[in-house]
Amino acid sequence: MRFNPGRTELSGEKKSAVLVLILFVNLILISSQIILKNQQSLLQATIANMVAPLQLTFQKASDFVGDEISRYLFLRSAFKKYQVLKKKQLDLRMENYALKRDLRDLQAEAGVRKKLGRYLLATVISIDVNYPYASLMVDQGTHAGLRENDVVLNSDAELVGKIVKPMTAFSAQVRLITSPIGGTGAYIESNMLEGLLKGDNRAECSFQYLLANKPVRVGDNVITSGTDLIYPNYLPIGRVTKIGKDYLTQKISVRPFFVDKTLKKLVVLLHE
Amino acid sequence: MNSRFRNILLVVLVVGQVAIARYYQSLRFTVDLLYLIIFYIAIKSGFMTSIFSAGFIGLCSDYLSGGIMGVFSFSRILAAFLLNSLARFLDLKKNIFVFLLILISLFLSNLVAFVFHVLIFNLKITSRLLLYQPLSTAVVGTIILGTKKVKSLLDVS
Repeated sequence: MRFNPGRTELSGEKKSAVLVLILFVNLILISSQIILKNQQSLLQATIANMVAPLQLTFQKASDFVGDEISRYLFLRSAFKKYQVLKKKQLDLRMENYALKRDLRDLQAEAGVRKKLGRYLLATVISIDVNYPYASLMVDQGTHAGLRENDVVLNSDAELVGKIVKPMTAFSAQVRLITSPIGGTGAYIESNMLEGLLKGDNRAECSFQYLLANKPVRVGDNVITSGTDLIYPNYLPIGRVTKIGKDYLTQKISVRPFFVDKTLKKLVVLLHE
Repeated sequence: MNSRFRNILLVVLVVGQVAIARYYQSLRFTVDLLYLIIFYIAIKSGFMTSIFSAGFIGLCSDYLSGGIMGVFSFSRILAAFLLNSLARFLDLKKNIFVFLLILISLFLSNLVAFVFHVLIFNLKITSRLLLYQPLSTAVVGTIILGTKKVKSLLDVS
C-alpha cells in the first residue's frame, strides 16, 4: 500500500476541531480590526472584559490579604504594647503600693515623733531577780517629771514597758511588757492583724484574741496598735517566733526585741 | 509533465489575479482566480492541506482586495471544507458539475464574506460580490478546468 501523506484521513472529531480552531483564529484576526465607539478594537474590548473580572478579583484579593496582614501586624504590635503596658501598670501599682506604705510609715513615724517630743534618759539600777521579765527599776523619778504610765523604750526605740508605781523622787519602777500583769495592744505589721499581747514572766509574750482570718508568718514584726491608750502606735515590739492554730484564733508567740539586748540606758517618753 | 503544467497554471492564475486586483474597483465583472486554486487543492488534497491552503490564499485575497484581513480567509476555509467534503460524491469530469460546484461554493463563501462586510463593518457591497463574481469565476473555472490537460489533473475518481 502506497503512503500518501496528503490523503491521510483524520477522524471526524479531529477535523471538526481543526476547522473550528482555524476559524476561531480567523475570527480573532477579524475582531482585532473591528473598532468600537471607544476607539478600542473588539478584540481589545473582549480581552479587557475577560481579564477585568480576574484583575478585579486579584486586586480585591490582594487588597484583602494586604489589609488582613497589616491588621494582623497592627494587632500583634498592639498586643505586644498592651503586654508591655500591662506589665508597666503592674509595676506602677506595686510601686504605688510601696510608696503608699512608705508614706504611711513616714506619717506614722512623724506622728510618733510628734507625740514623743519629750523624753529623758534613765539608767536601769535594778532588776527583780525572782521575776527578771516582770519589772525593773530606773534612776529617774517624779523629780524628773516621770508619771505613771509613761512609756519606756530601749536605746533602739523598741518598747520595753511603762512606768508604774511605786515611784520616788529619784527612782521609778518599770513594768515590762513580758509581765503577766496588763497587756499591750499590738499589730502584726505585715497585715495589721490586731490583738492583745500578754506576757507571763518568760522571754516571750503571746497574742490573745488574734483572729485566724489572716495568715501570719514566723518572723513577722509586731508593733504597738495604740488601742490600749497607753502606748503610742507603731512602736516596734518584737518578732513572731511560733504560730499555733486554734479554732477561731491563732496562738502566736512573740519575742520582744529588748529581751535580746542589754538593758542599761532606757528612754522614758514623758506624758503630754 | 503534468506537474510542470500544473505549476505553470498556478503561476498564471496568481499573476492573473494580481493583475485583476489592480483594476478591481473599476471592473464590473471580476474573476477570483485564486479561488480556482483553492478549488483545485480542495478536490485534490486532503483535509488539512485544503483547509490551511484555503486560509492562506484567503488572506492573500484579503490583501489584494484591500478589505478586512481575515474575512475572505474565513469564508474560503468554509468553502474549502465544503468542496473537500463534496468532491468525492461528484463526477468532476463533467463540466456542468464543475461549473455548479464552483458557482455554488463561491456564492456561499462570498455570502459569508458579505455578512461580515455588511453587517459587521457596514461596508457597501454591491451585487458584484454575490452574483457576478461567482458566475464569472465559474465560467472561467469551467473553461480552464474543462480542458483535457486539466481534466487529467482532476483525477478524483
